[in-house]
Amino acid sequence: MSMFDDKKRMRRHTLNTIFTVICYISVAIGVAVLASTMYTLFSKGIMAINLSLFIENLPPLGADGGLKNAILGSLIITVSAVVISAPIGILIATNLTEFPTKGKLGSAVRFVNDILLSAPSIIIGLFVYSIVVRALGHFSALAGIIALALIAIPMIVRTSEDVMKIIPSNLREAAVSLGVPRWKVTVFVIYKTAKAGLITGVILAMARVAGETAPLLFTVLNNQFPNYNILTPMANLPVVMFQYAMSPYENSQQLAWAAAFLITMAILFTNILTRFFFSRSRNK
Amino acid sequence: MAIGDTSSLISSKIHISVKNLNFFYGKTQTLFNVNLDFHRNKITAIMGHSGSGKSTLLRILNRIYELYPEHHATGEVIFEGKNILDKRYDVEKLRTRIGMVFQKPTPFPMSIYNNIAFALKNNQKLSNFSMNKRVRKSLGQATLWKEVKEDLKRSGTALSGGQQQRLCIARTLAMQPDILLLDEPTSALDPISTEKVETVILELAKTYTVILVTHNLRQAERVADFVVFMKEGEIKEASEKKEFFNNPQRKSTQTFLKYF
Repeated sequence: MSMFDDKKRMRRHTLNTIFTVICYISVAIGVAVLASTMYTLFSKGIMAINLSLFIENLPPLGADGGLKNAILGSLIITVSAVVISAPIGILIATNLTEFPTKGKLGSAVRFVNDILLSAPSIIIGLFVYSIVVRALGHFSALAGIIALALIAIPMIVRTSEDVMKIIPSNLREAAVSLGVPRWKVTVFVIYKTAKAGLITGVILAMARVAGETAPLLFTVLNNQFPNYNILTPMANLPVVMFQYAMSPYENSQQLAWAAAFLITMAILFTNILTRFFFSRSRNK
Repeated sequence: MAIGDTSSLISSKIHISVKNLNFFYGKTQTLFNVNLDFHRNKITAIMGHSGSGKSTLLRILNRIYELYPEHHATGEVIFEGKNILDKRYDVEKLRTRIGMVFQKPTPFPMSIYNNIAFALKNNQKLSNFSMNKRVRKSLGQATLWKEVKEDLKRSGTALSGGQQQRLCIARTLAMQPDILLLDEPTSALDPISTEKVETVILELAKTYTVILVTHNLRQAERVADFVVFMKEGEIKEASEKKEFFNNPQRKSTQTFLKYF
């Protein structure tokens, strides 16, 4: 082997080592930040967890109490938002992948969707404030549901379009060439094939909106009293976190830690659930 | 030919006829003035290099190209005295009469039974009894019945590649079409599965008109009655098999045959 080859090999080795080290450092930074966040959250959050959280309602600032109405409120708001956004998002994605038209409509919809996807959630909150809260004259859970649905729709459109796009066009063509109408092919072949991916997208969107705070501040606000009428303000975990963490009372701050812990656990759990769905569909 | 003149239609040797056909992907033209007749109950093999337009031609015959808004065709395809490219022609009906099997097996994500029953339920009102009979018959025609009869509830996607392809053939046959379009149906299969599928094709030609796109000269030699050679979107030669292999008229056909 000549000198030249040796030199070349050395160079390749050095570059390889440098690149590997940079990769490891990046991973270390990412994991360290996540780990310290989780550590703080768990150590402070777990201390704040007790039975009364789940059976008592929100106390006034500074008093003792629980999170029962906030937990239920968050569930109602998040689940309703997903129930509204999932079909709309999946149908928009269906239009893009299964019923493309000549011309620019498809790419225009995709472009607008990408803008909405990266729009700051506080702007969505302000938008819903101006069209729903102002019209009704007061804050309400309904306005919050609409805001969260508007945030979830573009996410669901994107993930659903991605999973339907990777279905081989042969499968569509095969179904259509048996004389089956497009809508039946879409429902019974395309949705069925993409099922795991579609569900994953919806659950991920739910996990994402469950922790949204900014849009709720402008729409649902908060309600100390147990109340599950969606036309009125309703207690919810993110806003409890926001308001109680800023209060000077220790027991209120403890409630905020508990709320943070619960939301994080819920999101963690839904993410694990999606992994489960995905791996099950792969093993099939 | 006058519509309703069925006697001459049935006696006619020509089952489907392509006239002055041009095809465009967006602004790019890929078929140029194609004129071709396909004979009833015969196997016609379409050959040519990749990109010669043979699959495109096949995809026009059941209007599957219409799934893509930027694709369009001009000219006529006459089937039973009517131009099937006419927008007024019921395309879903057309596709039940002219079935198609693709290069890669495409089982639906459902049971073997439902893979066949799915499209049938949509087009024909059958009792459970006749549905079962039809499923069994079509699986038998595709020589798959013996291998799957124990467990028709198994997912179609769990079968081997060769079995999946025969399932796709069975699915198409269950519709009882008049014409079968086969787009390189064995190119993704091993030699043993290929042989099984070829046996099926030969058997089918007794009752169906088969149009087969293939890359495989030997396959054309084994199964075809007529051979069509295409190059760059044009028909270069179309003749009976013997004539095609022994006495090709065109220079391009002779060059093509030399490679094998």
